[in-house]
Amino acid sequence: MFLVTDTYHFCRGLAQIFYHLFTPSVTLQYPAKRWEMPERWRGVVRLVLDEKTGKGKCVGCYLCARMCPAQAIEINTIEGPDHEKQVESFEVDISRCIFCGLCTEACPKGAITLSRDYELAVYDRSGMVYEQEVLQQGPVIKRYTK
Amino acid sequence: MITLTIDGREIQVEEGATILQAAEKMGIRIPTLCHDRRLLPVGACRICLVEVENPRPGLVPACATLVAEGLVIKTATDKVKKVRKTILELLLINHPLDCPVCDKAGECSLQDLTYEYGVSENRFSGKKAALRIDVVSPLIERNLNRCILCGKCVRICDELMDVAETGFIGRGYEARVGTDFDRPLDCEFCGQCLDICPVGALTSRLFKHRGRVWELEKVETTCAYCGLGCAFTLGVKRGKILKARGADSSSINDENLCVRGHFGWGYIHHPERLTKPLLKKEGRLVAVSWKEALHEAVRRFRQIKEKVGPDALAGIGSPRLTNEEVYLFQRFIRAGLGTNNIDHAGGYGHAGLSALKDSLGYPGTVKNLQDSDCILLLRSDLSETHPVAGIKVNLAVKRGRAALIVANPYPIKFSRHAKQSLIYRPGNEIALLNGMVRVMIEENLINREFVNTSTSGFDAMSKVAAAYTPDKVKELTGVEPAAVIEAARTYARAERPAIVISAGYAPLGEDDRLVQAAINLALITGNPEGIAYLVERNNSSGAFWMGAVPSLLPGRQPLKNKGEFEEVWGAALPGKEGMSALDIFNEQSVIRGLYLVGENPLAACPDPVRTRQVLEELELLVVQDLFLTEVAAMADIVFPAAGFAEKEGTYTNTEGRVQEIKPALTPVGEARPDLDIISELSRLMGHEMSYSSAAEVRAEIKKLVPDFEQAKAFEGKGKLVGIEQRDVVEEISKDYPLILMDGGLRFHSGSLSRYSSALTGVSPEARVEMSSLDAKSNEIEGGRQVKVRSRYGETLLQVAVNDRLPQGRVLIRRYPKSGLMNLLPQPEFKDGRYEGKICTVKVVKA
Ligand code: SF4
Ligand code: SF4
Ligand code: SF4
Ligand code: SF4
Ligand code: SF4
Ligand code: FES
Repeated sequence: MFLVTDTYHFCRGLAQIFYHLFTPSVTLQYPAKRWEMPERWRGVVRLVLDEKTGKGKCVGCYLCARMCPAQAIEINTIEGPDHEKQVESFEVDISRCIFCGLCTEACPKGAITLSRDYELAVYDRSGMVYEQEVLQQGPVIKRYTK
Repeated sequence: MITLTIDGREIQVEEGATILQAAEKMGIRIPTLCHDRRLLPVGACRICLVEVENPRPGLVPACATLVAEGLVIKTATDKVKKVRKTILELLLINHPLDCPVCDKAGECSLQDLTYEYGVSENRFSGKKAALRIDVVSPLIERNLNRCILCGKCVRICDELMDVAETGFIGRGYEARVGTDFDRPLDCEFCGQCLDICPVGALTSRLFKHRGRVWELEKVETTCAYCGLGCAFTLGVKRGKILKARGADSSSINDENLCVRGHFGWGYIHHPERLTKPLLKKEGRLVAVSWKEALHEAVRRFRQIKEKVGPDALAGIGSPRLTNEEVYLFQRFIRAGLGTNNIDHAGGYGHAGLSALKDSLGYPGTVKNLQDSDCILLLRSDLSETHPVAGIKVNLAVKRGRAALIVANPYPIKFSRHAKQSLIYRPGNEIALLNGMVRVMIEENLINREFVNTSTSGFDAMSKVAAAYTPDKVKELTGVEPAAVIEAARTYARAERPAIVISAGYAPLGEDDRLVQAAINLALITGNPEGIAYLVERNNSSGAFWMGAVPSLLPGRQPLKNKGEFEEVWGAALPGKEGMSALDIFNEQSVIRGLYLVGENPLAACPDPVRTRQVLEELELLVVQDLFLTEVAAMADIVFPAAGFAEKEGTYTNTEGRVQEIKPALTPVGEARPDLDIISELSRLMGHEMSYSSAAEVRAEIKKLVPDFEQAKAFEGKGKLVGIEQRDVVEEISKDYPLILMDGGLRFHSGSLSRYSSALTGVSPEARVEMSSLDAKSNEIEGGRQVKVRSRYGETLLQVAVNDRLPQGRVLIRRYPKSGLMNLLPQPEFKDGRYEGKICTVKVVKA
């Protein structure tokens, strides 16, 4: 009696193994391969560039910094050579960011957005404060190599 | 009283109030754009419309409609809201919606109202304004595209400042606020217009694009320039002051500020600020640690004290220090070093205050100025020296129809509104006042009852005054007899007359006599509350009161009362009267070691050559300052001190009002508040002082000086003292044909303003002014460099020629580096007091 049921379960297990052997896997061979995130994913904050000029769209109104519930954004502006408003520095402390997206909603210029980047790990905590350039280009991710 | 109903509630208000005032009293908010409580109502914007139900239904502007008996008003009906929304839509037709880059956003009335009334769409459309932005004018940027034509800037500039720099140009859609021929601003740069502008049309260049108003940390403190002590709010972002604004408080200024208060604080961020203690090693000042600098100072103070005695040491403080600092400084000098050789600001600043204290019992008041019906401006070029007090005079004269008598050696801005302008020979104010007193006694215009009950010394005083017949006055002052008589009558017949005197002009050391002569005038007419003596520096009054005087302990107590102080301080005090600053820089100076706190005698004392000599011969010179001034560069030890926005304490203003300053920043580098430096030095010197805050020092002061907050009003006993006019002007000869007058300058004050780029940017270069007639006879052209030479020295200046100045006189205003002090003589010591002179000069082509 035992023999019959054991064999049955054994065969079912084997079937399961063979089934998964020939279906595509759910996990990914990270970091060799990585996920493409959905369109509305809320990842690392990014500053948007103007397509025509190639310069940042941000006009330095500080509204995103004001709205940010995590107080992750710090901006400093100065008067430019033509008396215009210039963004001198724009920093986001990504270790504080809670990816709520309120900054993008506050922005009157569509100058800040949440990208689909999600790789945040760094060796040093100070690397989590992204400066203007990083925010415009997207973070350079250092990959582990042998 | 009038009773009316607003939003269903009844209220009683005084006749003459507006509906807006009545509503404010009830706590009902009505929006406004063109209204300001300091200005006369015009009703230009109509945003304040409210609905009147009774007696005649309709919409009226609340700010410009007076209350009437039985009015029934509703402030927030649907109709009112609809109308207000429409007005906003109309305003927004041509208003550029550039809030993201507009520096007003966050405190913009138009923005707030647009949000409040939910104007998210506009039914109207039209061209957006596209005027050129004025980026040329200093300090103030004008972007008139954002202007909503409320007219407040135009009105404040005219009504309060009496400058009328701008006005409306064009009509209808083309209307805008501008200057003549659209030139850049060339005005007093008080900044009042940019504070009052409800939108971002006028903004500060110092704040431009450097942050947003909601980010700023607001610190309520006190202006550290002149003796009025205006209350203002600093806006600080990341350790930098970006903005200042008059505080809406009960203080003297009523939200107003002058150019120095508004824009002049920049010196605190000057790159040349001292950040480390310096010590002279092998002839050069090198940066050292605090410990080394302090120990070295103590070692050398001790050395001199032991070798020569404590009276070879001296300290000179500054009327810019806080009360607490002055108090500790004098305690250190007296108890720590063991000498009474202590003084401040050249030692003549307090003379006038002494006279007020002795003869009136209180330091005078500015409060009543606005409500006076006659103002005698005596040697007071207020729009230059104390602009905010000038506002009060403007209001009294232009709005209150007060009779203005301007008595000055040269015409000033106020002269054009004056009922009488008396141009007298410099230095002869006392003769003029005595002449007026004589006329009043003669014509029986005096208040006998008041004189009998509340004053003493009338007979002796009137005997002195009797000699000043109109003819004699004319001989001395050059003022016509009829004018003196008329001035005396105008003053005596007024109900609430006021006299204004500004402190500290040549002849030096004469202010107490001048003030007493003015007190005589005020007292015989029974107006002890109508006198304002405006001191020069923010804490001139406190420095004197806190005992930075060789003969007086804090609270103006004589040295013989030292017992009480010895008890509290736990040290024996010297009983011998000390040396004043003038003694210290005298030829026979015996001082070997000098401690200067915030004072630069090379710029503040006459005859800098001799002063420099005395300084050079010292064994030890310790200087404590914000900058490496000329005198600090000569020092053996320099301590870096904190500025007014970096420390706590109190200033006493010219009225004797004690006002707090609060730290807005941390001191630069290793600079420390003077309070810390002095108490540490004292501790090392063996005189223990330990305080954790300025409040603790204040508590100790209050124990020793019960009237730390001085009396604010006349207390019923006044003294009349006859004062003779001295001959104060030097001989006019062929070699020195012109009389030198010194005048104030609104852009500068003492030694700090020259480190403020905002102020030096507007007013860079020192000038000497002379009349076109004198210029012609000396073959001098305006704009050129000239040499001004007196018997004591000379200075090189640019000359400005005008028709305003009387012939035979030249005027040098107090620019930094004007070299004015080179020309002035040292006051002479005569009959137990120093007597200054007005010098005569020659102007030659350079
Ligand atoms: S996503 Fe949220 S938390 Fe992150 S920066 Fe934007 S507002 Fe701040
Ligand atoms: S809200 Fe947009 S435009 Fe404003 S500062 Fe942030 S990113 Fe720049
Ligand atoms: S800064 Fe003062 S003086 Fe100049 S325009 Fe404005 S209100 Fe008038
Ligand atoms: S500039 Fe400002 S204060 Fe002057 S009229 Fe225009 S909106 Fe009013
Ligand atoms: S009037 Fe005097 S105290 Fe007032 S803001 Fe000007 S300098 Fe400062
Ligand atoms: S605030 Fe009353 S009309 Fe402008």
